Amino acid sequence: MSDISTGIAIELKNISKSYPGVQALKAVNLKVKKGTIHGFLGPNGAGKSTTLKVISGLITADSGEVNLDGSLGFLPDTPPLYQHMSVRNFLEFVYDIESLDQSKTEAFKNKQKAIDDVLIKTGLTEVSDRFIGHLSKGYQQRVGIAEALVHSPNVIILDEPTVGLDPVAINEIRKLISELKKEHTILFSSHLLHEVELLCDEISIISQGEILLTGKIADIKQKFQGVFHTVAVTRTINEAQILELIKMANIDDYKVFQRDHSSELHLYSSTDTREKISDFLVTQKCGLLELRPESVQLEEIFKRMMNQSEVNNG
Amino acid sequence: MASVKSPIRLSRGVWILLKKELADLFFSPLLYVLAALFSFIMGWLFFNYLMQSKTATTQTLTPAVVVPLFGNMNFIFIFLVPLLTMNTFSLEKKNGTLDLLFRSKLSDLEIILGKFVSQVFVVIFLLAFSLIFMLVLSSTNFQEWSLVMTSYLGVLFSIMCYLAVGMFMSSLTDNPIISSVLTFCFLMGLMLLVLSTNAMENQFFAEMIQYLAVPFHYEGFVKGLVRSYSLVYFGSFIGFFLYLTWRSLQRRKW
Repeated sequence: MSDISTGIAIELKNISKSYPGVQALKAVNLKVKKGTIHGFLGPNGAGKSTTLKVISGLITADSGEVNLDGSLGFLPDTPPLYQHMSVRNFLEFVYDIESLDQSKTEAFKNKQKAIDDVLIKTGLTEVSDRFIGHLSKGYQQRVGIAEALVHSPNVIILDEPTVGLDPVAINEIRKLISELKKEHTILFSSHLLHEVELLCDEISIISQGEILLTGKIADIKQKFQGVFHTVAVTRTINEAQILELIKMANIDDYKVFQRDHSSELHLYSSTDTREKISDFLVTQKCGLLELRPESVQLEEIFKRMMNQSEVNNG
Repeated sequence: MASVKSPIRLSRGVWILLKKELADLFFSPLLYVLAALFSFIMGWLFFNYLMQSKTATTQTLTPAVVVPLFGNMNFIFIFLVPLLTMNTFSLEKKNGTLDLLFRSKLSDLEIILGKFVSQVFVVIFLLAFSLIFMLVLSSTNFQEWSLVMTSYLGVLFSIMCYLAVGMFMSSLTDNPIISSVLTFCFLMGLMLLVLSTNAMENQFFAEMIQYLAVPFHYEGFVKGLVRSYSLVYFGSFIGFFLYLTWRSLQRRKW
């Protein structure tokens, strides 16, 4: 693991991996920038976990190169926990096996501080003396994250960290992940698109072992936007006014939805026409309640990419 | 995976894992159930052998009590070892914790040795329960304590071979039950191997098969004979199965 580009925390170059009868990864290239949360998206069986295991060194790729900037902490989809150990004992054990490269004195000197810090960071201080098996699933997931963090790695990989948790625990884990961004680079896999949109700076979409798309969420949305979609909500507007608006503002297509006390206009054009639309609706005294650009959702992009991938792969 | 840099580093890694493994094993009620079972069976056998012995002298106690007692001790461990080793790797695989060990700074050798040595300690703990029989013997005219020492050594070497087999079987599957059944079948097969040589006409072949079976080498120790080739055999047997365990665990990465 060497020769990593500047500003990059994880770099995969042409990683391929096959199992008997299955090509799990097909020349995967991926770059994760330092200090970012990078979302790794894909449907079940797309190759997410395989990629993450290759990065963490748990499985060996058939070909390609993995470069990491510094140490790595990894939380697999099922947190590896010894249920009969107390949280503190478990973290001490993980710290011990992760600090074997340090001198014994140095490791011992930093141990308690490292464990106390990670307990505070993950909100586990109060339950530190309880057996892991007696904790709720949300807390067990926190212990899993604490395990990945205890040796202060530069890079953290989290494989679907919120799967199977209740809504309260999901929110807590998401908050924790956002806080971790301050000190670590995070590669975070999920199939929950709104979660990725909420947490990540950049994303990569993988399907059938291939990276289909990678980049900043905003850039990707812009790329897929193509058509300007504006939504205008008015108190009163008649058919004639709509037709005049369409003509005046060069609207290519439109839809009108009648609500209880308002009309919702969805207007599609090749250029940004929001100013013209607002001027018209104000002049015509249509009772403009709301005017907003409707951006393309990540979910829509994901669906399009999946369809494209299926077509390409026959 | 970190490479082993020095014996000090190796022993530090082994020690960390050994402490954790011993805590696991002594935390489990299984060990105490096995200890109770072992003590009960051995106590019952010892009592019967002692009652059958006409006089309490070294000449009578050695063939009537000590030799059969150690023979049975060795045999009982064919049933106990599969239960002791079944969780070594199977349960860790099942819970995903084996990956935690393998992606840590522990080397493969440290992981295997840490687990093996902890199992040896547990066996010593179980064997310690039989010391009470030696205390009883010491109150008689029994004097052949060197034979007792070599017998304990033979039993320990023999069980270490069983442990190595058990660990290998545990590395093959994530199901502890399958692991224990495989270990038991293999160990029983080794035992039967010695018996089957009695029926063989080809003397050379029979001796060769005998040499490959653990009980043949163990028998020497119970007779008070510490043969160098038996020590080589035990060392090679343990080394070979620990190597197979390593190979089997390496397979996970591919």
